[in-house]
Amino acid sequence: MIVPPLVGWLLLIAFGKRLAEPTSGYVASGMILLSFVMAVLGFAGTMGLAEGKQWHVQLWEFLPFIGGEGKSLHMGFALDQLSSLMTLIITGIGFLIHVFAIGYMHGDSGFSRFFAYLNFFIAFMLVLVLADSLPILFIGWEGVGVASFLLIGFWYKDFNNSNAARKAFIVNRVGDAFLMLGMFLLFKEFGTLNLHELRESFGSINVPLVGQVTKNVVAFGAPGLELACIFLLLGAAGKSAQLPLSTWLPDAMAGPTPVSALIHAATMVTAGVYLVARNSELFAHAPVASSWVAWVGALTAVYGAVSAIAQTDIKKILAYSTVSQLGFMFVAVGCGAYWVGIFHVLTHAFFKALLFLSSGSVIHALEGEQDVRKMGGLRGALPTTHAVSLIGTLAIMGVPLLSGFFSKDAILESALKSPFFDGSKDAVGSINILLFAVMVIVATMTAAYMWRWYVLVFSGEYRGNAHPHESGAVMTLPLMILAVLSVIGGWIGLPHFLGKNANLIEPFLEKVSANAKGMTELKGIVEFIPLICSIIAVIAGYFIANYFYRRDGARIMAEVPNGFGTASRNALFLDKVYDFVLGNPSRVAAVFFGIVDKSGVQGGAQLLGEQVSEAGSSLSFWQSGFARGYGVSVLIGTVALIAFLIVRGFA
Amino acid sequence: MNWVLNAFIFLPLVAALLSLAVPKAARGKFAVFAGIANLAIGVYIWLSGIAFDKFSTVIDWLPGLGVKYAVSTDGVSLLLSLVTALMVPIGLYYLTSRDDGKLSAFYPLALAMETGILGIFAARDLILFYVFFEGTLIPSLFLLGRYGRAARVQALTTMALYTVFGGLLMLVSIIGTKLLSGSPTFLLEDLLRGVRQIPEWQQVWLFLGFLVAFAVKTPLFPMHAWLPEFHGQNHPSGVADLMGTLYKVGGYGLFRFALPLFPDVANNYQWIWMLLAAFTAIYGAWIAFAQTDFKRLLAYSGISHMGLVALGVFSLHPAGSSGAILLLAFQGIYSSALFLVVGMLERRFIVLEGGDESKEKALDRALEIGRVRGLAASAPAFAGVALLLWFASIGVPGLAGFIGEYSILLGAYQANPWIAAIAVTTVIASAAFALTAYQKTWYEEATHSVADLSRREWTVLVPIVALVVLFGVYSAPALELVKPVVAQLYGIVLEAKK
Amino acid sequence: MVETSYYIALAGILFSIGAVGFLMRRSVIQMFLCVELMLNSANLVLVAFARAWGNLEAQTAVFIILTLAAAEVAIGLAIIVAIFRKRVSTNVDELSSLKG
Repeated sequence: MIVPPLVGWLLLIAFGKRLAEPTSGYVASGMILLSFVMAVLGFAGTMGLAEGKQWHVQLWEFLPFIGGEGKSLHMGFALDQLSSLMTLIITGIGFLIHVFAIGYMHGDSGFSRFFAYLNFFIAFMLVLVLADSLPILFIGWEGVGVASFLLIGFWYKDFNNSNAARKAFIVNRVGDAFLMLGMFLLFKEFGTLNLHELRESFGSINVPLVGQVTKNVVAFGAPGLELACIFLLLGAAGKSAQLPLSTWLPDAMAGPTPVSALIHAATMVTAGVYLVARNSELFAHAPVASSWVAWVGALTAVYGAVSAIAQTDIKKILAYSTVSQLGFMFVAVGCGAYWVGIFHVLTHAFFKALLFLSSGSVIHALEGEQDVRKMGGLRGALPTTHAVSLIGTLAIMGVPLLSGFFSKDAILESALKSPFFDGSKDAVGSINILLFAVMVIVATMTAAYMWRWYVLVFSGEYRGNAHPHESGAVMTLPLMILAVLSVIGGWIGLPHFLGKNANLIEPFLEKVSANAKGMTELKGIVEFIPLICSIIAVIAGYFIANYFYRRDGARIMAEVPNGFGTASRNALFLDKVYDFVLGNPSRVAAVFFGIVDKSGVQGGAQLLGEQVSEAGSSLSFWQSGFARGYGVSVLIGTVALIAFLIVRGFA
Repeated sequence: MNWVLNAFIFLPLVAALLSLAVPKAARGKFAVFAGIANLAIGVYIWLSGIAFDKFSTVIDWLPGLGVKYAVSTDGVSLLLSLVTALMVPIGLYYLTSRDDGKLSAFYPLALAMETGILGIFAARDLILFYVFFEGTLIPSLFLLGRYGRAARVQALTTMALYTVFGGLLMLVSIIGTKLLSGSPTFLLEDLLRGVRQIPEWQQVWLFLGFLVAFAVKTPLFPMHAWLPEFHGQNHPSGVADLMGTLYKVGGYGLFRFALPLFPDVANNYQWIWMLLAAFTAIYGAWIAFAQTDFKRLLAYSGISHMGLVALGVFSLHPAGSSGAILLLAFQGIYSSALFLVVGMLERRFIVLEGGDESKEKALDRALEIGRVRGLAASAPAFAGVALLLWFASIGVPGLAGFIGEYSILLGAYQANPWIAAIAVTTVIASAAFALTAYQKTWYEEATHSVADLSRREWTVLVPIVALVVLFGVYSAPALELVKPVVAQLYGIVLEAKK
Repeated sequence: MVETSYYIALAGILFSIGAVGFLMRRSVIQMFLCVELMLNSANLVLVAFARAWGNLEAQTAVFIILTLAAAEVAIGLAIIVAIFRKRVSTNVDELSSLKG
């Protein structure tokens, strides 16, 4: 499954220049299609796999003495329910985005290079989800980081783009460093990094009783496990742009729009969620770390939503929205509802890819304009784009029966039910309610800023001066497919009250993920509270956005800057704070150390050298250059030696 | 006695002497040919299987003193030797493209250095090791003194002072070890037998002697001051830097001699050595961030790598130790290649620095990071290769640098989590300086337009890139070489712990 | 048979002449000859003791020294000629450019 995109990448890197423009796009897309077919076959295969079973291949030795009991860690891949679902998302959506990009990148001088990078990305993303051990996962993890670096900096001639690329990579590396620490600690505690073996360390697969410390965990040291999970969380936060490592994602919008859709919305950024879900067994036994996951997610969701509200760049609104939605997913996995997190990954992939591609279509139509203040009224000019965008917007807002509704509802429900806080099996805890309330507010804000996005772009009157035109079929067809998926994608995870077998995805995923069994059971009317709240949130958000933004264009252009708006536009100044607290001091320190090293350490050596050579030169008169002088020295020396021997006696 | 290994060690030296008889114009080709022939011998040894003992030679050298000529090889020695034997012809081949008629002494000196380095890896007698260890210094000093830049004499003095000082301390320690252990010879195996009887406080001093010598050559903080000068002042082609990179054998010395001889000391004061190494790693990476000269940047990045190598050795964990050897071997490939890349850049930039200034000033400016930007537009293939090498150097998985770095850090974490956490920050710092330098050179608005890789440059870089990727993904052959040796060493360490 | 002490005395006299000559003379050639004189006085001592002890090893040593001395003379003279060609002088006091 990994091979076709790799082959595509190699082909395009090697022969990219010789291929005519659309050909390389077809080659790349074809390779992804091939992968997709394999992914479907794999998925069909895993449907029948029993609980705790997986398809597993082990190849050659890769890392020395890291496989447990003195053995080497092998390069190996495994396919189970969770990873096969992820491969479907990656290759399926990846294929649609490839096709879209053929139209979008038309005429760019780096056409082949672009598709080479995209294939490279897909290959490593597949490595990430198919890895059978954490180090192999890490290959994919950093590989997609590299791909992201290359693609954000795709138009490298622009200073800002290359800066954004570098920032993305470095911030990701901060997360990676924590992920490494997490792996090291897990190795120390468990003696293996193989995902399956880690899972098996806890005995049979559905054993966890959260809240009680099981015997195994004591043996492995529960605080160690908590710490390892927190390290993993920070690692995941880097890739998934969670606080405090969230600042790179909005900048990453410097890349071409298909990249934003593929990497920075649908696939790569969800790797963090995948990581937590993949290690669900560990997190289920680490209630403290899990609650951290949830709160990091909640705070990030708030942060993203607040920042999204006053942005003026069409893609940055979506970027902050992605940050916020990733926060939702973290809340889900942090609450122990691992299938819900992956479910939201799936639906989010549909509608966010759709929204990004639509905005790509808009940008394409407006010849590169990205400022929403110069848009509006595009409903008429871009009918298809408008229609699919409306569907996407409604889906992410959480309008009932669309995909976002079901997954968001499930997340809200899991926040209430989570056993990691003060809730018990029968009663909902107060912290659960607090978390739930926060998430409802964020859901309201989501509805508000997305409707604002829609209003500013598509309704009202056109405020720019380009000549918008609808894109060709190669671009609109993927949009339509994604729109359909955004509508129906949620139907595989219907809530329980609609019937016991209505939910398809939960039993499928629970074969591989832990099931936090201490979940509160919601009874009677309480069961409908999340549902009702989420519907109220949609309606409230809609009216708020309408109240503020459904006005004439002039008012929008002259939006009065107030405190909240400025803070939001600058994403709560997080960038500046980081630069001030971390960036500048470390730059200064680097220069300072450089000087110390040069004058101190090296200067010290210099001084030593001078002292030594001074001492030497004081004796240099001896070497007068007169041969007879040396002769005298020899004579004196001989006499002195003989005299010494005589005095001491010859024996 | 088996002639194969001896031929492998001494063929370059013989070739160096013979090349003096070859006309100057053909000397480069002759040297490259000799290097390739030597690599072939190395590959023959490799292919002839895991029983490397059959290549050993032990004969009396100075019988009165108990000094023997003892050479042998095993997986670790062979891996490092192969890297050396591979990189020397590649470097010399690149050098032939820059031969302006004045480089005729470069080839024999480089070949002589190769013999010295191969001898270091093969020596199993401590005096013989010392002879190779210090003997290699002579050609390297000549290379610097003859082909270096304006301030070379100062750099040369600094380097000679450090290394000779460290080397003498090691010699004292070697002699002391023999005397105190009551061993009849200087053979490593004889010394290993007797060394446990030495009282611990004496062991500490002997260990410190070795440590200082290897810390100079590694280099470890605070003995590193000579390295930036060495690289900064060497021949701009980068070939001399390549030889220098291969000569950073301190990590190997620690692994081969210091640890097995004094496992108790290494163990009892482990945190001190680890802290020193971890600090070197982060210190080097941090300073590299503020460098403005390509070569000094690479020098500090090398210091950072070597800190990690030492960390792996001192971790006394099998994963860490094998990681150290793998990182040492692979960085010999990609760090050397980065020096060649700088050489290729310099060649393009020096043309741009016209005017009536002195040659030295022009060279200074040609090596300044960020003077010429946006090269990816005019030289895309060059940009791609350079990026790949940089990524290998900062340990991106899938490339050769990762295997060593990851294993080292994992091993170090098992020994001491806090120090390992310090070292892990290197991962971030190295990404920061490497990408910043890369961006300033290759990305951004193009200030100049330069030629893409020439055919000869392709020939130089393709095998390097292929190996970096191959070993990054398929590391099994290298592991096979390293693992048994590490397991043996780990046995010694475990025994000492009891 | 002549007593060994006479040989030793002769050798001592020869050595003293050589040593004094080396220190007093300025011409390189003359100094060179004085060095040879000292060398040969040492040879004489070797031969004398070899005869006294009836030991052949010292005799062989003398032969080796003689051959080495011949080689050394050849090189030494060549150097002197080279210096003379360059400096047009054999005065050692003028040859002090190697001063430290």
